[in-house]
Amino acid sequence: MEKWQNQTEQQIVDHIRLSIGKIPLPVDSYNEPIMNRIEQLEIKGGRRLKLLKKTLIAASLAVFLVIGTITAGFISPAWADTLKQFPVFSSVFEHTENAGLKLAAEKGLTTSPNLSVTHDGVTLSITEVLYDGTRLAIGFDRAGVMDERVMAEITNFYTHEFDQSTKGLLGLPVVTLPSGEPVSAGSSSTGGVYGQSNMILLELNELRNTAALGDEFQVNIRVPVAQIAEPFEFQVTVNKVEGRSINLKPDQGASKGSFHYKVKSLDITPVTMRMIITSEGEVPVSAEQTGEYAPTSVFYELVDDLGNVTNSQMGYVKAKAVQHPILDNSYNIFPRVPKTITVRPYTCTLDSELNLLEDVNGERIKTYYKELETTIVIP
Amino acid sequence: MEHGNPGCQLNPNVIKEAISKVRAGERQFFATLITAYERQMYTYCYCILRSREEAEDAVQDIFVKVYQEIGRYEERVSFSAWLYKVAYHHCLDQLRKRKRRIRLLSFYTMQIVRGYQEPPDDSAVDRLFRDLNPDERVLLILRVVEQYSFDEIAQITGRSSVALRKKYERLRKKLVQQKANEGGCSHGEVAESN
Repeated sequence: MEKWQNQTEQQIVDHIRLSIGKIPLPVDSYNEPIMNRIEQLEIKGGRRLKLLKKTLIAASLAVFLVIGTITAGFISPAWADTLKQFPVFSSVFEHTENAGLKLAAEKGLTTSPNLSVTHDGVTLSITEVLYDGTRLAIGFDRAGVMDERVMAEITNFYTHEFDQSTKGLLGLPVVTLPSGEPVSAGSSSTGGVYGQSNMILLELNELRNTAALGDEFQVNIRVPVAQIAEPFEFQVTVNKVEGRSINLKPDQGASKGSFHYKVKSLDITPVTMRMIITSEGEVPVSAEQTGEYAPTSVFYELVDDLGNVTNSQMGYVKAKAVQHPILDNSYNIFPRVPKTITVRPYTCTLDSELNLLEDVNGERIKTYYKELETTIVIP
Repeated sequence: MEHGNPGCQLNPNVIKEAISKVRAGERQFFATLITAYERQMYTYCYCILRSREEAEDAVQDIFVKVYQEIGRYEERVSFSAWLYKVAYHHCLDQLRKRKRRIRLLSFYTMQIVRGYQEPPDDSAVDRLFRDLNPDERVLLILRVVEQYSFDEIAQITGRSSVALRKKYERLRKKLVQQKANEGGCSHGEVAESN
């Protein structure tokens, strides 16, 4: 180990070692839970092996089908050129956990611009785009980088600064309209796709400034990449998905104590649901949420007439009983357009350190209020 | 072969024997390995993930994975380095999953994201790691605390040792600057160290 240069640096090293050495193990030992899990795994071993075999067979079949499709018959020189121009991309949307995007990909509701930009050995491609009036989702594929991480660490979400230390990792994409104005969204998410080392999904939800642009418009997408000065820029034509969209202004809600909420609007597109809720009064508190415990803000779960449940992806504020006067949330759609949708408000419970209480399965414990439910009829 | 691992209190021969026994199907000997390394693994996961709950889950997942994969362990690297390799990739996976959950853009949502990410306390470790990215935290623990060589860290992380060395130099300067900003030393001292 090299010597640190002076007393100051030595002090830093000592401080680091001391601080890290002081991190307490929260329990005496993890021996028992780990050994129990291992024992359980071994009991299930036979079943696991069968599953593995099935997966292997399915994977082999998939590879065979792709090879079969490409090599079947003769390929004319013209068709071979065409194939070269259109790289075979896997669907980003199909690999996400987002039910709406998966469904859109399966139903063929997405558009595939097949646009690629290459700089300094790194190629970035836009594989899929989905727009339904309320959400714009864009799938990216990266090539030429041997790193299983796709996104760089974003060091400042306001300025979009990101860690530049590894070449080829991506910063936050910026999507603008032809006027130069950024596409405005209530919330957005950017991130890699689990198990897919070169895929990125960008979602802009609760869109605010695209309604006036009609069913087809252009956007400019610019993606910063670490250690590559030239911008990765794309001009993409966005087409609104075809299909029935339902836009309701129910203006109905319910009350408990001083708390009152109203569903101001509910939009159901072929791939997304969006609900705007206004509320006032104090967040309801159950008997279990007193003393060292307290409720979170109110969340709104949606249930269709067949009992299917969908939740928004909203995070929570680490503060007790926060009241949100206006909420604008996106939800995954139900398997089919329902006859009714029941809004089921609930709160979660925070402990004195503002951690969420969870059940044995690691799921948040929810407190529902029957009197706050309201059912909206879908025409 | 157990070396470069001052954190491990057990006799290397005991570790080696436990590994052989587990490989031979004597599951109960895996408890010896858990006891020997659980503190190091927890500390490592906690420093990278900066969440007690996630670190606790990670430690358990890592040991289960290590048990399942122990047949692949090759003695040309130390067992602890191999453990760190498994832990490194597991923690990166956890960070990726966490990032997918992060929502941003509107100021309002930003507050939620920030609230979710902020650790609940303000311990010396939290202050130390606040301005370091996960790669820097990994490097700091493996190099400063565990005192691995750059070649060993390269094996654990899959990065080149030259790049790691450069990164470490930058990290050293950053830490000195950080200490100077906190008022931990005079300007004269900072100038001297650079």
